[in-house]
Amino acid sequence: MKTAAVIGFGCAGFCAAKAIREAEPERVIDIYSDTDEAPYNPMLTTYYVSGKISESAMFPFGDLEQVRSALGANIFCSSPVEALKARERKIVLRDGTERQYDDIIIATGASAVIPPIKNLPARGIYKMRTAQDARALTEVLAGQVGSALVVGAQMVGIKVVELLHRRGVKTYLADMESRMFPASAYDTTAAIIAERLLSAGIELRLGAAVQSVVEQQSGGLLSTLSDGSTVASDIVVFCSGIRANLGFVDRSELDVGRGIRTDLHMRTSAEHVYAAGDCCETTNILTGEPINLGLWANAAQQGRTAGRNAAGLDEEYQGNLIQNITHYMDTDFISVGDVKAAGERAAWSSDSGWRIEVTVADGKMVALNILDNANIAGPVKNIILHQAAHPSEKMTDCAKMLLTASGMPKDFIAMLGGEGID
Amino acid sequence: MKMKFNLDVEKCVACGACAVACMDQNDIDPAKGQTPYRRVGVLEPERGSGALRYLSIACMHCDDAPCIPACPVCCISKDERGMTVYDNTLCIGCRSCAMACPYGAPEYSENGRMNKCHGCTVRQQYGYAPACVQVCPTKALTLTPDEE
Repeated sequence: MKTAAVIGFGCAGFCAAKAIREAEPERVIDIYSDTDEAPYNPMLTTYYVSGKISESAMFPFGDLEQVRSALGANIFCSSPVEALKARERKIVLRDGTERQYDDIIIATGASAVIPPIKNLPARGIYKMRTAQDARALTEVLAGQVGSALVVGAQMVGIKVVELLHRRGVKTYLADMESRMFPASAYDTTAAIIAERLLSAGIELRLGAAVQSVVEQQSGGLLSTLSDGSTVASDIVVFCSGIRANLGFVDRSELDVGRGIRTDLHMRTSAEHVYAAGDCCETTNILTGEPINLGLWANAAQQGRTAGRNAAGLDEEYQGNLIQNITHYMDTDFISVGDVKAAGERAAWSSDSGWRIEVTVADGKMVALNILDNANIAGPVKNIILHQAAHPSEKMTDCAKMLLTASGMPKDFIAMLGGEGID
Repeated sequence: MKMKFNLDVEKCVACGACAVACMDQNDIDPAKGQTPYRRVGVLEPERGSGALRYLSIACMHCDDAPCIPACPVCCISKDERGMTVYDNTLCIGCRSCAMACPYGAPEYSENGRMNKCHGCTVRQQYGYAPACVQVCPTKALTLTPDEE
């Protein structure tokens, strides 16, 4: 009987196992997890801490028994794979046990990164990635927290800022970069977002890296930033990004960049070894270069693709597109593509409050920011996807009508249609 | 049996009856800023020549609906008729489905939760056509078996 191992049990691991099970009811599937919980969604952690969802809702596929039953798989909890002999398709467990499989899918995800700051206090330091991180922050917020420093002005950081602000916690937001959403916002968009946060009472410390955090005699924390300023707070929450979990990978056996490199079938450089989700790197739709992106929907689609291909089907993932949408403090911020890409820039705004800025190169939109118009995010993003896949085709009538009906300017729609910036 | 919505653009006149039927069926109140799940629109001829064309658009109930894997709380799924249905009890209003949908179908109510065309699944269960199909005076909008 054929066998498959899934290393890691997040969204990609679950979707890979599900795809194998659907295609091959008899296949033996062994899943190795470093936790004793069902797959959680890192994006939901801040929603749990904010009280918007229950603890169980962080586990969107159900609890461990529900997942085990749905997948018909052997789930080895708290059993991280210590090493992978990719060419032999063997995994090595902590006790030295080796097991060989017909197919292996690597879906180990990514972990939160805390900047290398010496002697961080044992108390009052938090991060936001795992269900356990969410429980820890929830627990401390149930007590007396009057102030907080959030480090990292990206998608996770802004949600932590929002939930703290709603609780009435005096909130500081610091980032070593000099603007909000440094990886995804144009300077102009970032400035508007910063202004709104300042108006809401958020203290911004942009362009200032945290250099030290020390515990004060009063019990609070004092953070010193690279601009010379200090922030006194009860807690510090690091939301400084993530890094692929690759500690078990022998780089002489697998091609690895910022993640395990795969083709669009999610095949790694080793035969019958696949990778999916936040631990992998695959083709950027717009540039053709490999890119590591940590996004739930990507992980689901990559996991499914890896699983189906491991099961002998032939499926191709569409590729990675840098994209983010976040809804916080009455703001919708959408970013697609690389805002640092070279090209011609243009911007549109309306009396109703939305603003769009784009970069166009060779007649095609390669990046955009949208503020406060989530309704057009999907149609516009899908125009980019469509044009990347079918460069010679025009925008569909459907997309044109949707954008027209949404009140988008004619020259914006013409630009999307490939007519350049007027 | 899997079903699919079809629009014959030669017959559609953008009368808006489908959108009104949608509002009626789903208790959508424009006075509260709510909009029907189905929208109608006009496509002007390119560069001023040719005839006007009309469209009626809602959730297309895509075979491989991108909103389903995009939803972080797994609110969205397929029913036995191929309709893309949802239970927004757990919806967190994150807009991920809006980012995924090529047709701008997801909308967000005052409580922040997503709503969209569900294909009038309850009507279908009882043998009725979706409200928009039922009312279409030119029979431009139809629901037919999806013969793959």
